[in-house]
Amino acid sequence: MTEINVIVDGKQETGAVQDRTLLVHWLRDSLDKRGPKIGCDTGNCGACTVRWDGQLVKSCMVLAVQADGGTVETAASLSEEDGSLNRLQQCFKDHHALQCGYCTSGMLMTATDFLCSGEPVTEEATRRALKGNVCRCTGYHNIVRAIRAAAEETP
Amino acid sequence: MTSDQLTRPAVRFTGKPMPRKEDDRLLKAQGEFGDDTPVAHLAYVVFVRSPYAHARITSIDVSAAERVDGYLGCLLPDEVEQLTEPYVELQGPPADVEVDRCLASGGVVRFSGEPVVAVAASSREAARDAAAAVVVDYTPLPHVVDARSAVLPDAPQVHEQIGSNVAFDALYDWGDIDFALENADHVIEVDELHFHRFSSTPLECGVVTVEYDAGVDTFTFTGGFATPQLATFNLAVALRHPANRLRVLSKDFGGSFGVKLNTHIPATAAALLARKLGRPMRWTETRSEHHLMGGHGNERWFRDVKMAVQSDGTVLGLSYDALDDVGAYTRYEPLGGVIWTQVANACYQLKHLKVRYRSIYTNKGPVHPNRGYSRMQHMWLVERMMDIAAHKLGFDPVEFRLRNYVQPDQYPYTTVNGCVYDSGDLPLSLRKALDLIDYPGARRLQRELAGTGKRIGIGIGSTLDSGTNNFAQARLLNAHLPFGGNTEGALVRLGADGSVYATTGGVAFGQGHETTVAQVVADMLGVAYDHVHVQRGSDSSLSAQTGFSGSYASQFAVTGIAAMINATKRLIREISLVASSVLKCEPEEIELADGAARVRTDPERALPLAAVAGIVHFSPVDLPPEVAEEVGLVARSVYRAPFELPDLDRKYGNLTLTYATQIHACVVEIDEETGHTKLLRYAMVDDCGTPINPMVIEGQVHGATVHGISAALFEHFAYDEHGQLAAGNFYDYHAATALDLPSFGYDSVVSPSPFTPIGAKGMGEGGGAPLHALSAAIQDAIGTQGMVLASFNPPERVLQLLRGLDAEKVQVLR
Amino acid sequence: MNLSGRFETSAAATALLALHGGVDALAAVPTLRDVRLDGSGNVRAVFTPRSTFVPMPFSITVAVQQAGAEGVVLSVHGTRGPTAVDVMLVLGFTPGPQGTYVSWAADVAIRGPAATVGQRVVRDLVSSALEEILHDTAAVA
Repeated sequence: MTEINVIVDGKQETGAVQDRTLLVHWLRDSLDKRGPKIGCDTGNCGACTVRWDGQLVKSCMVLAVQADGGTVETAASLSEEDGSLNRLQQCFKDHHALQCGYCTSGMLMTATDFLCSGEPVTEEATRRALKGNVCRCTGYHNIVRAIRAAAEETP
Repeated sequence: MTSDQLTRPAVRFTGKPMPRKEDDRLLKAQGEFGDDTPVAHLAYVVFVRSPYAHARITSIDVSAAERVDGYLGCLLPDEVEQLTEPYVELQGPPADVEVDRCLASGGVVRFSGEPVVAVAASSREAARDAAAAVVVDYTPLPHVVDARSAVLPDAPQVHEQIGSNVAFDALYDWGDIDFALENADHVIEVDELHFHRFSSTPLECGVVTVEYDAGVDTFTFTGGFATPQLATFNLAVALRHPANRLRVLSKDFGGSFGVKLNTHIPATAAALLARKLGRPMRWTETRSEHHLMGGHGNERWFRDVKMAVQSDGTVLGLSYDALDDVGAYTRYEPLGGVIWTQVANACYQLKHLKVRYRSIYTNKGPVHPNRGYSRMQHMWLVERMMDIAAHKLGFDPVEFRLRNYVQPDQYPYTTVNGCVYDSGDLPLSLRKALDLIDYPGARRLQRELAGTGKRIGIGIGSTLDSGTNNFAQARLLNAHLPFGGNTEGALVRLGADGSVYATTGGVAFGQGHETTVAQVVADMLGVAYDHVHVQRGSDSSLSAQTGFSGSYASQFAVTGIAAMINATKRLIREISLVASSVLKCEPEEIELADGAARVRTDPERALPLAAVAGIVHFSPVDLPPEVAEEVGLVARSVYRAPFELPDLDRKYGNLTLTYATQIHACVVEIDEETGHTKLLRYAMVDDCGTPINPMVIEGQVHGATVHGISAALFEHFAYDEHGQLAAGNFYDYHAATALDLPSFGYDSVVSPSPFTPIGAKGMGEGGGAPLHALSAAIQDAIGTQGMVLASFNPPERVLQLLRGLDAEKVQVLR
Repeated sequence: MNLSGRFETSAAATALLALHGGVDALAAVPTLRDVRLDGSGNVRAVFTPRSTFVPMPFSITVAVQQAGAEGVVLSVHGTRGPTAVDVMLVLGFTPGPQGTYVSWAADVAIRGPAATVGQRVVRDLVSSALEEILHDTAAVA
């Protein structure tokens, strides 16, 4: 067991993990973080997407020990301080960009990163940004619309 | 409340694109999915699975697992044989002697991925390590992976005791196809077509948590149960445990699309371990496991297909021989063998249809219901034949369909087998779809690009989404099955604070039931949308459910909503009784609006619902005794769909209540060098009657569309010659991503159903329209040099088509 | 899946042939442990290939199908959790300047979830595991 110290969603967290424990398992099982989800075994689906030291990663592809000393943000950190939806979340709601909600946290993290990247938010660029996130309910159409709407509304 | 009232100006929410009640918690990562819930003292279950497609188990050695730190115990096949009953089989003799249990039974494994041992440990890691340490020795047996080989006389037997690999064999013969084929102007014959194996692969795989409370001898199951009462029944039989000591819960769950109708099977093993080891058990399926055993869609071979066509373009009917590959066990099957007949006519005025249908066992993963269950296979075949006939006989594919569609003035339309299509406007739907893809412009583009190495193809997919089953169709499978009709239940109550609580018997996994229920209930009770609290998920102990409760087969907008309307009407009667006694008027004079019960002719005389609730809950002395004794402010009601038993001899009768329609049209570009199919334009037109929430409907259509597109181009549960699945993860089974797809054109037609309380039709499955549309588009791009006789058309197949694949399998006999 | 290879070892063919049943000699192979003969006279052992990303101990059973001066045919069955590997291994021995040339040809069937992955990566993994164990075994002959 290795002790790790990670700032998760703004809070200092300490854990004891096996060397092989994946970051996603530590976030979910030890911290009850429900943003990152597991939808595959192979890094394809993106449901576990988080930001790690500012970088977008699939948390099933990172060992928990690697995150020691770093900062992790999950989808639980996205809403406004008063608990209301942030602009991107509100656009997802307005455009019906989620159905079962299982991929949603990963989609939001990827979209947040994309919107911060400075890349023009065209249809093609948005679709390219989302290609590592699988959704089996929405057909992506409304997710793309929601992200583009969020970009337009960003002051 | 009548259907008129829902369309009056006072209707504020029903029919509107109301934002979803589910969304805030899901967007804030506060949902509660199967693997989210923390449980004290939880242990984890991992299955040791067979690597063989077919083998005899010669020995099982768990000694190395016992040495793994955290190992708690295991469940072996012998133990399961002693402690459980086999799951109930739906088919009659001879295949009713199939034995299916949660672990391989009879000492034999019958597909790669079949569970042999269940191992429990105190952590996920220990459970995996312990399972990996179990050594099972096998003696391989001959296996069969192709349904066509499985029906040959010397084929290996999947279930030896049955005596053949046929689980179900039926001849459907309506009209007189032999006469039609003899006398028609044209007859088209196709040797063989193949509808491939895939599934909707929900992003959340299977997960179930089982807690056993020894004090009251009760199991609680939490997870993705799409049909909670049928699951309870199956678990009770398998576990030999009273059904009233089983509780089945679902919270949020990440998609089912039909395949999560069989969660009771792994749940049985987890339950046995929970009781034996005295700890709550959780089984969380991995993606690979899900692909091996989480449920595949029906794979079907259509052979010796003949279609009779008149020279004016009228299609008289068709005949074919179907081999439906159900995999190693019939786990909802062979119901698919009758369910396809809900749409016997597809979208067309066929007069004659003759089908020999056989459900065939193979050494592959079991088939579960999957979005478009069993109907899309038949409709794909009919659409393919329409398309092939148009190409071969020189009819315009649009005109040919328009001529043969069921026409708007023919509804209600009775099909060859007595099903009643309730309403629709297929010609209008097709015209709208063609407008969305700029059909004339697409044809121009096709001509312009000819000879450039890029080929344009235009395809149409016409489908029905039949909803609200008449379960009596199970008797067409086996006359002894005690099923008939369909029901759903609902509970609505006014809490002590005047809040409205609604619980549906249905189970949502993304369809927005909390939203649509709240829309309808809020309108009926005249309260704010936010004032209605809808129970998340489902709970078998809340008595909202009926035997058929759940979410499957495109029915919630009919059954779930109708039950809710019936329950709300009862609650309104009770509220009116209370209010009229306080306001000194007749109950009939009460109307509900603005959160109050008031006198219709004198709205100033009003009693807020909170006051109604307060009196009933806290001050019944203020009520006349006959009212106080009558009113509990808890209303339960059932919706019973109006069905009769079909004529079993003729296989004739109405099998579903509503038929939503979807017409898709698309334009593809095929690269002659790579065989790559690029979607240039894609449009769909949905008609599901009176909408409750058009936003939710459009979302369902989008989702079904991408399942179909992805299946047509990317997804295939292929097996190799050893009976090994070649698509056991999301690398090798490519679920379409945003980058693979265009944005969609969408429009709707509204043909209210005359048979449902508010004119709404069930929808969501979609009928597999993209498979039909893409096959047609690829055929259109290829011309007739190769023939599209398979539903799966990846680039390598398209290249073969360009070189003439399967052209010889299609003959115009005259 | 068919794989093949060839290497030279200093051991004589007779010494190589004697390996089967020579449980003690096989126990000296560094990637094998718990080597024993089972009731049918087959060799059973736990084989942990060096070539995998993480240690993956396989329980293996080796049965001699044919043996002669020029070579042997072995059937090797390995399992680990849900994965099973069946190898029909044909070994040919020809004298070489330093000892013996060993040429090998394997017909490999991968079963279980690894069959899917196998389409992309298992060919290399199995090939190197076979090379490795054959080299190591020849070295203790």
